[in-house]
Amino acid sequence: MSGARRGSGEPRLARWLLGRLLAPEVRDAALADLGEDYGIDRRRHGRLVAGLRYWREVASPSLWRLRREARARRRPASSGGWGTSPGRRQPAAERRPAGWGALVTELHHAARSLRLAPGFTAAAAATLALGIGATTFVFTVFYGVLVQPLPYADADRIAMVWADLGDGAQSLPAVHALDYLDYREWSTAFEEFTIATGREVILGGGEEPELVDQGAVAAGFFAFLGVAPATGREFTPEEDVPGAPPVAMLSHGMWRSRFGADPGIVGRAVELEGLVHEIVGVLPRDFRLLLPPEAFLLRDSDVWVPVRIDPERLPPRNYTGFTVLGRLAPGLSFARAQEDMQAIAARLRDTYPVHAEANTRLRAVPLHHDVVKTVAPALRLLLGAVGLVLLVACANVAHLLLVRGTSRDRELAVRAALGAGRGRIALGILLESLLLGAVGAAGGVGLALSGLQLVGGAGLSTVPRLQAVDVDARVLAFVLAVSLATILLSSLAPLLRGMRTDPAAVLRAGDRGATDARARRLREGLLVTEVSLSLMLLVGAGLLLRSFLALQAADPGFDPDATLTFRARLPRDSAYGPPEARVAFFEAFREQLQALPGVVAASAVTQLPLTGSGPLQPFAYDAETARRWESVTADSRRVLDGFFEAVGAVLVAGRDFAPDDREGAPRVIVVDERLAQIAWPGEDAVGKRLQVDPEGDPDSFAEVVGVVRHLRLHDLSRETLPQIYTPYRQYPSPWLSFVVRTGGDPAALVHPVREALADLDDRVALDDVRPFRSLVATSLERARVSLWLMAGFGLTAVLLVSVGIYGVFSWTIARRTRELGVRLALGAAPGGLRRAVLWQGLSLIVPSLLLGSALAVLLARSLRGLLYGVAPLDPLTFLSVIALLALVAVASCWAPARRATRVDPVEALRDE
Amino acid sequence: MTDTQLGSLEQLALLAVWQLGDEDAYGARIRREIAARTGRRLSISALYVTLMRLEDKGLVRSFLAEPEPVQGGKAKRLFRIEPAGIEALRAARAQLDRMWEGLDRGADKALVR
Repeated sequence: MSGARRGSGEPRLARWLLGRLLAPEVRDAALADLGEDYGIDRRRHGRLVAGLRYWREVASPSLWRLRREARARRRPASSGGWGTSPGRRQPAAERRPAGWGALVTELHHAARSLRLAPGFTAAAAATLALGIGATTFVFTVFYGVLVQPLPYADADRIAMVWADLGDGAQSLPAVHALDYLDYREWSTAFEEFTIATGREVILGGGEEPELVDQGAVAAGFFAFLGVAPATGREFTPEEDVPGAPPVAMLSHGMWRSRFGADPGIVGRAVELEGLVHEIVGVLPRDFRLLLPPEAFLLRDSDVWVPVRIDPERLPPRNYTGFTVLGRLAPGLSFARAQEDMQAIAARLRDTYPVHAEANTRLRAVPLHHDVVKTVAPALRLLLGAVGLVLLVACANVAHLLLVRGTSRDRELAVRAALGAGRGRIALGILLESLLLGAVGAAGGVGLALSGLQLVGGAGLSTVPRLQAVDVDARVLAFVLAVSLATILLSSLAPLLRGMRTDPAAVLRAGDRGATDARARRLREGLLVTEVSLSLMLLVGAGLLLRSFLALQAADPGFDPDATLTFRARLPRDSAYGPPEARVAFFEAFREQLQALPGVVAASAVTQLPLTGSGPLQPFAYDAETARRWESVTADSRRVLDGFFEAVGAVLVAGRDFAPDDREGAPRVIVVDERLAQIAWPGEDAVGKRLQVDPEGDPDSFAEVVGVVRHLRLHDLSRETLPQIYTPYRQYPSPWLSFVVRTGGDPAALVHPVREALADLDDRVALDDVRPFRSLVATSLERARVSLWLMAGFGLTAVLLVSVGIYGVFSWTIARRTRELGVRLALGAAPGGLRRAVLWQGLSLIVPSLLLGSALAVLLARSLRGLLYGVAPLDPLTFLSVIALLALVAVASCWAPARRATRVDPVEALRDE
Repeated sequence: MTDTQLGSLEQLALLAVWQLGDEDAYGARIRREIAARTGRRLSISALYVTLMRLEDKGLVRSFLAEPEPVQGGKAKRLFRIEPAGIEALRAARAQLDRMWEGLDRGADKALVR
């Protein structure tokens, strides 16, 4: 076999197939040609087009012509093969294995009979394409996100270390750097640990200062992940010590956007926070640092520097600002890893009082699980749902095949009578189905690809790993398996029927064959299955819809309409060194903003709602919580004056901060209703004093001056931690996120805001400029996408079902033409006849709806975790779905029923 | 002496081989040449069927080039046009020219009118 060239990126399955199918004389040359063209196409048109063109070669009919021709020229003894001596072309030898002829004949026959029934063919192929396409689409995403290992070395052995502090006070993938040194010392299950942290820095030296994410990583961090830099190298241990000369690595994106993809980048300089760093390497283009959503400091960054742990300059061990990854020793389980981390935590508690007080516990969570856990339930649900759609599609195609089968009974019976064996007849039926399946599968893959492109283009930020999703050989193998299973399942019923048919009976009885009753039972069974499965899907979609509406209508505690948000960060230099200078700048900027025309209110906060978790603040309100400091914590936000008004929060008691609450004045805080309820149930919180610093600190208490309604800072669907707001003035950080409320379109404010900022100081970096609404939209994104897909599947199923019902009744009526004609001729009222036919239809629908409801109850139970504000057994959803399906059913029976009463008795009787 | 009739695909392939010369006429390159000049994108197997026939007719000759000096590099099959091939192309063109005779002007007139 030809040695496969690694790394060329050609679709491996297609290459393998071509390796088998190409005539050996040209195989190597043609594969080399294709590889070359693939490379060119990929650069010019992208991977998808190049892949499709490559696959087209597999489907090319000339492939077979080439084989025949090559075989023919090999035949004469004189011709030794390609290029040696020109041989004459010979007619292709008709040496075929036994049965080959029958197969080809049947194949031609099947193709012809499909062409002759374009309506049936189109309906069946479209149904198959819908089912297979939807399944392929969901499976591809499911596989890419949930099944495929993370793109790191030994990814299945990488664990994220989580620390739990207090009594549910904090649970984050964040630990202290000194603890990390202890893990390395004490661990018995891990081969290796690595550490990283991150923050935002100002990248200077260009025209405009830019706010970028900077990751700080241990030497060997990228080697730990099995990632080699695209250019240069990663940090050495010598560079990862305090005081070493500053060095940096760039992300591929940063290298391209800021440095024009300079090939001589290594050795050039980059200015970070005013300090010149030497660039030592660039990361590869497809590198992504995948993290759980709770990781709050470290991000997939633009620039990277060595972490340089300096024990002299670290805060106490309960300040957890680092992310630690560990790699399990080969052959050990995560259960073993967990035991190991528990032992380490126990030792930490024994050794350090801080850990004993906080009751520190550690967990080792598989990184893959951690990264995808938020989307896993929705993806599993969708995979299940799409499986149901596929089943409905199967039932529908089986239906169509059956209907077709019965009308072909005579043809088959004649063939049987003329001596065609049962095997031969079965072969015919099977080939026809397979041909249909091939058409359907091709259409399905096309649908799936367009769906994937749509999803890729939609830029869904909340689904991790979506960039990694791709149609590869495994996915195609899956499609093949699903298509085969689908088509076999669909043709099972017709096949059994075709085999059992007694030709004599059929020929004798004419149109209304003896097999009618059995066929009808089969079809009715299929119909019941279809309707109940669709009901299940629709109930799922309905519940998600109700849940989504509830989520949208939920009061988040703030008002995102007509409001612009953005972040401003001060340059790190002496001008803004003193805290007063920062306060002065931001207060001046706020005043400028408020003076802009159209602005109703403007203020700022250290972290906007729905932009991830922020810092936590331990607090104590009685002796017990004070003794166990850090046993309870709150979300901590620092705000400028007027924040609550600007964000649209409701102040339920007390007052907002005022200019007098400055540094040096008594400490004041605003808390949310939840905190007030926890600390002083039933009492007025205003005027109470809350402990916000460990005992022993002078001035460790702050006075509550106001109470606000809880703001849903993390997640629209639930209230999370209690909240403590402090005046920015008392703890000024170098950045703030602004909230500017206007009467009109927030986009109109962007330009004036930039001008106002540039007037004050053009070195201040501005970013993340967007309407507040878009933050809300992003946080609803996952729910919205699940809803769309589920609704899409539900509607697809309904469409299939209505086609199915219509098909069955049209057929039934057509077969009863004679009987109906006789009854009309004998004076039956058309209305009564219509009712009778309709009734026959409904007598099937009612049990389907009952069965479907029972199944839907099971589905709804499993949906519980994805629902918000609606009970799984929501009667409104169930009833409306049942009503909708009943309506669809009646509508689908209506046309055939009407046709029944339009039968011309004379025609009907002459029919025979 | 040649009375070999060339199909249209055969003509295209033969012309492309000729255009590309001795050094550069291999499958992928020939295919791109045809696509660039005519917009027709052949499948690689169709191209090789054609080239095989041309070789059978003695109009082109093929041989293996040195493999590329990269890991797993494959030997390219290069094609070279034979004198008979050039003759066949000339004959085909002459034949076409004779058929076109007198039509060009008429066709132009038809367009003008």
